[in-house]
Amino acid sequence: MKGAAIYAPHGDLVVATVLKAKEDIKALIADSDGDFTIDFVDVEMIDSKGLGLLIATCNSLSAEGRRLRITHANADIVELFQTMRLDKHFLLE
Amino acid sequence: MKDESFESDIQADPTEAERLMRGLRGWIAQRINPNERFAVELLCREAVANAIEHGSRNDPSKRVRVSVALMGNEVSCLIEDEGGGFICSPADWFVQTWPGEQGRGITILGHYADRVLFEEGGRIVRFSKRIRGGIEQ
Repeated sequence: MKGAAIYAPHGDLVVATVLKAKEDIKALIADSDGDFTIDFVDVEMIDSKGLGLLIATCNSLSAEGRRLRITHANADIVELFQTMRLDKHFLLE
Repeated sequence: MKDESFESDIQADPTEAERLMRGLRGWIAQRINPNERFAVELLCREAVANAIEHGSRNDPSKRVRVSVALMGNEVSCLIEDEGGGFICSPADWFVQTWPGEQGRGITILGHYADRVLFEEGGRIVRFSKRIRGGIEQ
C-alpha cells in the first residue's frame, strides 16, 4: 500500500501552468494508490487547458481503477464543470 | 476617473499571455461585479489562448492585440492575431464528449458570451457579454 495522495496547486490551472501541474500530478499518481485528490483551495481560475488536464488525470486514474476527487472548488469552477458536463466524472466535494 | 477600456499588444507566447491576464484581472476586479468576473476573465483567456495556439501557431515573432471595453452594461472584447487564420467548425460549439482532452475553448466562448464573431478568416475574434447586476461604481 502506497497510500492516497493530494495535489494542491498554488494558483490557477491555466495554459501557463498546466505543464508543470501535469508533471507533478503524474509523479504523485505513480507514488500513490486509491482515490487521488486535487485540492482547489488556492485555485481561482481554470481554463480549457486546465480542464483537459483534469480529464487526462481522470483517464489515467480510471485505467488503474482509481477515481479523481476534487475538493474546495469555488462556485464558478463548479458551474464550469457542470456546463462542460465534467462534474459526473469527478467526485466533487 | 476609471479607464473604460483595456488595451494590450503582446507576443504570441503563453507566458506573455499570463502576464497580460494578470493585469486584466485587476482591471476587471475594479469594474465588473464579482458574480461576472470569472466569466469575463475566462472568455478573454480562451480567446487569447486560441489566438496564440491556433492563430499564431505559438510563434512568438507574431503579435496578439487585445482590446476590452465597457459600454453601459456590456463588455466587448476584440482579439486580433497575425497568423494564417482559424477555421471554426460547427462541431466546435458543442460540448465535447468524454474522454476527449482537447477542444473546449470555443464551447466556452459560445456558452459564456452573448455574441461571438470571427472575422478575416478567424484572425479577429470579437465577443460581447451583458453584465448582469451592472458595472462596479
